Amino acid sequence: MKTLGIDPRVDLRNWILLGGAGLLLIAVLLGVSTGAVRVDIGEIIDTFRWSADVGENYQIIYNIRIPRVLVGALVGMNLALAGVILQGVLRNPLADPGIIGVTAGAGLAAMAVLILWPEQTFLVPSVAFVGALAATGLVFLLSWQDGINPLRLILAGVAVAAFFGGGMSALMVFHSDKVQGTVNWMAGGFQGRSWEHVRMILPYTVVGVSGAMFCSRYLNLLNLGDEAAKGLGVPVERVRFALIVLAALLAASAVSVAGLLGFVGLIVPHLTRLIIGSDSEYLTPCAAVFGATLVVLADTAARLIFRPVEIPVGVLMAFLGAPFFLYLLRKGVRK
Amino acid sequence: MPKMVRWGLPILLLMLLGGVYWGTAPAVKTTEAAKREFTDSTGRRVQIPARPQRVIALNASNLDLYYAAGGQVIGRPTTVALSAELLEKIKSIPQVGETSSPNLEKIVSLKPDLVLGVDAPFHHALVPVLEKAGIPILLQALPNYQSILQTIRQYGELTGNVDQASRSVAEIEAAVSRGKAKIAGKKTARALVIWGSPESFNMAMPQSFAGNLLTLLGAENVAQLSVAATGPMPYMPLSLEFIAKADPDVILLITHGADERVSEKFRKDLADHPAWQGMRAVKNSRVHKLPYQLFAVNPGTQVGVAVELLVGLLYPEAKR
Amino acid sequence: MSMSLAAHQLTLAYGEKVVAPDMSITFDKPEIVGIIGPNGSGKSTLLKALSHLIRPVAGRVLLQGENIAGFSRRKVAKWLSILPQAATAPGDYAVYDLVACGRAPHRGVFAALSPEDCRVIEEAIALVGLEQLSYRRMGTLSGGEKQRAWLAMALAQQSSILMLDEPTTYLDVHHQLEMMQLIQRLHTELQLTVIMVLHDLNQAIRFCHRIIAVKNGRIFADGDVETVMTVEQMRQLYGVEMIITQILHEGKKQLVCLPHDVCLPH
Repeated sequence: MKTLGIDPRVDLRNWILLGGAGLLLIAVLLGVSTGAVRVDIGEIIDTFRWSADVGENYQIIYNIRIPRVLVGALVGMNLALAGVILQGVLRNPLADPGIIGVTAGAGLAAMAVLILWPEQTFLVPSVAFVGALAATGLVFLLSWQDGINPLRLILAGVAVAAFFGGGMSALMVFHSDKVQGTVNWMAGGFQGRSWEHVRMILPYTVVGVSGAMFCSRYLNLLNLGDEAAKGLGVPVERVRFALIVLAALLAASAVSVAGLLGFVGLIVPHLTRLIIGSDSEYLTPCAAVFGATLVVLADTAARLIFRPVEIPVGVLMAFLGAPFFLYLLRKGVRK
Repeated sequence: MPKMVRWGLPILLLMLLGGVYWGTAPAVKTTEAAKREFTDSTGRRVQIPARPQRVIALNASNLDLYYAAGGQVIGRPTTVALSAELLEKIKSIPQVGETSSPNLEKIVSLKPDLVLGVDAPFHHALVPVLEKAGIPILLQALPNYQSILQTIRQYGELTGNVDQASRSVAEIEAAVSRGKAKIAGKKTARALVIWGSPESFNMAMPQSFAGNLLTLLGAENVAQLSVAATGPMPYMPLSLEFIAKADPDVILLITHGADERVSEKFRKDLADHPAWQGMRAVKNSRVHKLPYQLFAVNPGTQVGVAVELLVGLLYPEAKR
Repeated sequence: MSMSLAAHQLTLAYGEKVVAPDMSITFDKPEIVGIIGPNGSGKSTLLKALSHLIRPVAGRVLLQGENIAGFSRRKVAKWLSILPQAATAPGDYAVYDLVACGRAPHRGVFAALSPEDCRVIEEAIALVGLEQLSYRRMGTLSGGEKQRAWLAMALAQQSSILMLDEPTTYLDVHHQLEMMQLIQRLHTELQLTVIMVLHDLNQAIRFCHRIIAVKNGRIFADGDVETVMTVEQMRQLYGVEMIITQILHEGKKQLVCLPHDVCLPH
């Protein structure tokens, strides 16, 4: 029996969530129907019927577009969630997956393969994944002191990133003629992504999304500060560790498949917070959905604007997203 | 409602996971045409049609060499690094994107039976998807002069136009011989090839294409003197002091990109730069720029032009 | 709700630095206890040790007769609520959201708010008088209102012991008084044990049943107000000459304390 009345925000938040999901669906459909080649809805539907008689654009739709759009959505989801978790756990609004070393580790590992063993290019996602987790492990090791201190973690992350960044620079200097082969991956993009890539990232998305959703209560409590959270019965050290590991897995899987796609992990949580508030129970699913939508729309635009030339998605997102975010900040949208 | 979402999103993803892992797609029908096995530069053994009818080239060199071998393409890269007459020939052929970022959809939609690419990550990345679509792709590296001739002969077998291929090879060899003849008996020229800018540069080692040409013409590549010459990298950031000590007769510059103004600026900057002032080559005004498309990337059939240019720059007195 | 909380020969340290070499106290009945003492004497540290926020280097804290070190945080949270100094919450948490956090020790990790939880939350909000502001955001509240919201959160925990670390330090005199009167009322209505670190000696005198004075990491004095608040003890504790006297107000005697002069350190 609620004597205080219904929470006026709940309805609006639910609508926003629903709206976000709808937007994602539209974005996915848009992504699948756009490309260098014209396809119509009928052909798209036919692709799912798996009839022996396949249309001439089947290859394109099934093997190129759908996996590409799916990878984009999953990457957006993973990166946004990683950002939400890290910003909450480290209590730092500037935290993004790069802060725990994921970007640096993946970057160095991928660049090494791309430059030194280009015929093993298919290994890049796995190698990048391992590199990302190795770098994060290093950051943990350096900053561990009876548990995780957020400030120490951030500083260790900066140090590790600098170190690995030096490694990348060295590779670029000594193999300056091969650098161009790495540029696309470093900028982040979805060209040539296949069902293999979807298979690589999807398990981590499932684990990460489930984990993040169920732990959103902990995120809410951690927001109150370590002492208050401990006073409320939260095993703060263990929860922080587990959440950071979750964020690392989410980010590593995303980066290994998409390249060093920045911006999403940092800005999408803020964007979502401006629209739906700090309550993690809503913020987490909403950020996941918004992240996915943003990346899919950006990738579609990147393919469309100067077709058949494709702009790297990261570039497009930075150019369009940053001003939009500034605009939102100025308006101070709150619901 | 959040409860629904909390359970809903993971469940949806789980379903997707199931579908992706256990769903199957119908296999791609393969044609009955005769096949042959081709080993490309990276050592991949690829099954390709014995006589490919619909070939797409993803970069200028492969395009050039394929035409030199008497072939034709149905899809080409967006590039201008080709001879004027070749550009004219391929004017109306559909473009599939820049060499470094080819458009997969465009390639697949043209239904090729063979794709020619380079040994670089951005083409390696295409292999899995093209394989799925039943399209074979060859990744060729063209690191030096010999590889040009070899590749033309190989392509000749694919086009079936072995005579044309032989003729192209002979033309190239003749051009190179002419160049060599001009300089026979001359004192060995000492040269240095730089890539970059006066403040940040790399030297071309013997393994690079430009370095390879120098060796071919019997010139001395000053960069060879460094201990680092034993390394495998084609371009190395050598110290300026080393260069000053080695004091080459002629300095050749390559800038990345085809813009003439950039190369000209590079040349002027170098000549004006205090650190380079003391060198013999600068004092004698023997600092020249090399065109990007003839020396930075493999120029294919235009290697004859490249050689002639190089001869003129290395041995100016040989022009007569 | 009978409870007992005791500290036996606690040695507390931050890293290498020992802050409190030997402390022993017992709380075994509902009362309002004020902890006073100079800055850095170990008051907050004592509170944190009692609530299991920090571990003692030596000695034990016993909750209901058992060593608190063996309890999980959740279990402790069901008995004790602690309000840290200068607690902050994200500006766009509503009061309701903050108070709902207080139900954390009683909820499963995955469970939504049960009707029982909602009832407790609403009761807590009513107890502190914030019904009208239930859905206002924390960022829009005044200092006094914020403190009351945090208090409501602590109440929603339904604990027997309430620990407050300087609850009135950042409030103006109106809100300070309001807060203390509220705490007094809550103690009476809910039979809570309230343990608070205070800087304002008159507040301690007026609202506490028992005062514990801490100096240099040791319990300097522990007893009822009249026993502890003497001129001599205050001189030794704070190095301040105080005038401590009884005044008559509306027919009732009230002890007041006026710091008068700084005296030589001893």
